[in-house]
Amino acid sequence: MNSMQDNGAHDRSFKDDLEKLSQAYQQLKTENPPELLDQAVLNRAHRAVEAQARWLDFGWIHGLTTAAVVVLALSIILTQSQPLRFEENGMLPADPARKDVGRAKPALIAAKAQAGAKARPAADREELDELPATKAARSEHALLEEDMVQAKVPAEVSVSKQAVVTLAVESPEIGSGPAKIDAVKTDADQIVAERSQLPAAEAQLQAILMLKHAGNDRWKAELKLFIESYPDYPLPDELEN
Amino acid sequence: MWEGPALLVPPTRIPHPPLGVLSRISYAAFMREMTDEQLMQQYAHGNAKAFDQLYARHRGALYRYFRRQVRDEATANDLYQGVWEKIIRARRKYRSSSPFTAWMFRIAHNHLVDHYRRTQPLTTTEMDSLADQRPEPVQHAVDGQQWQHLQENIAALPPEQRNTLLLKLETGLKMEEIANLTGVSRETVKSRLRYAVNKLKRSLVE
Repeated sequence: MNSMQDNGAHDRSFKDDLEKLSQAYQQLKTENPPELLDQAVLNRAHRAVEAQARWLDFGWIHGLTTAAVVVLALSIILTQSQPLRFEENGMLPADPARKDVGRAKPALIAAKAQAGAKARPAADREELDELPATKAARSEHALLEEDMVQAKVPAEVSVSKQAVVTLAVESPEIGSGPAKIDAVKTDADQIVAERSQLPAAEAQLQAILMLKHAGNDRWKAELKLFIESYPDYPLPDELEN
Repeated sequence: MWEGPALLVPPTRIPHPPLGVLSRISYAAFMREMTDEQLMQQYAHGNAKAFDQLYARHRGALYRYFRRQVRDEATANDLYQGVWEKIIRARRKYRSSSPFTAWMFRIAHNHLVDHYRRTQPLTTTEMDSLADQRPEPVQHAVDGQQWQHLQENIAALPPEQRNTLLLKLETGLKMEEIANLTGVSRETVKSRLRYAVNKLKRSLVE
């Protein structure tokens, strides 16, 4: 009990002393930082919020920039994925050597190949009706053909009836009018048919020749099948006998 | 004149400045009515004037805290500026749930401890040099012998006791808050204060 009273008395004494000391110390609170130091701190504080305000003022620019970057990235990805889809559809053999063609004009080649694949008689009239538009794309056709030749792309894949018709109708020797257009269409059918057969037959003949040179007797059976498929196709001298 | 920290103010919504035509005088008066916590929040939201008010309230206490802890004035100035720099940088991290004074002096205490660690060893040399400090001529004229005597005795205290005593005298924080700020128990704070007060009492009586 006494010790508790002692502690209480000590505490009171301590608090009184601390209070007196605080009062004495209050009178000594005259020391302040130099004015230059004040200015340095205040300038730093003001600069910090000014920079913050500038950032907030132009915050919408950051949002806009982010959106633009996202759109750009998406468009690049979509553009790059065009040749892949083209190859997946079987429109162009997935040969690494031909990838440069895909990279050079992927959208153009894809459009042409799809147009060729979907070429239907019913659509021909529409294509002819759209001649002014195809006329505008004439240079693109020419470029496409050039690329195909350089890359040795099989013609049966790349040449469409539309392309042939477009090129033929735009030729200066051929006039205009429905009769002429029909004539051109008939010729175009023949051209497409011929061009679509040629390389395939040639390739088969080359394969048969290779079999023969390799001493594989299968070449005879393959040649027989070839003659059945292409009865009028001229055979090389080596296979004639 | 610094009127002490607003410690017991509960976190409330920051009042909007008065609408209409704001004269500079009324706006300054409005700022003066705001608590430290509200001013700090205002500053965190980009109001530089709020910082001016906050700085005016605490500049003296923080400066004296460092001035009486370290040897030379240049070091005290560096420490003082460094703490404000930290406060400015950490303005968005400040939460009004904790009293600003306690938050500021926690930064100051940690800054001082870092300084001590960098300038090892902190022993009697530091304290001796502190004891050698002389008041500025103006202060000497104002407060006379008492100022010098008390300052010398405070400077002669062991660093932990001196730090605890200065936190108490400069900020008016409660013992629990000082304990929380310095990372020791309340009893340790009380013990350090008791020793410090007794030593100063004896020396002042002598």
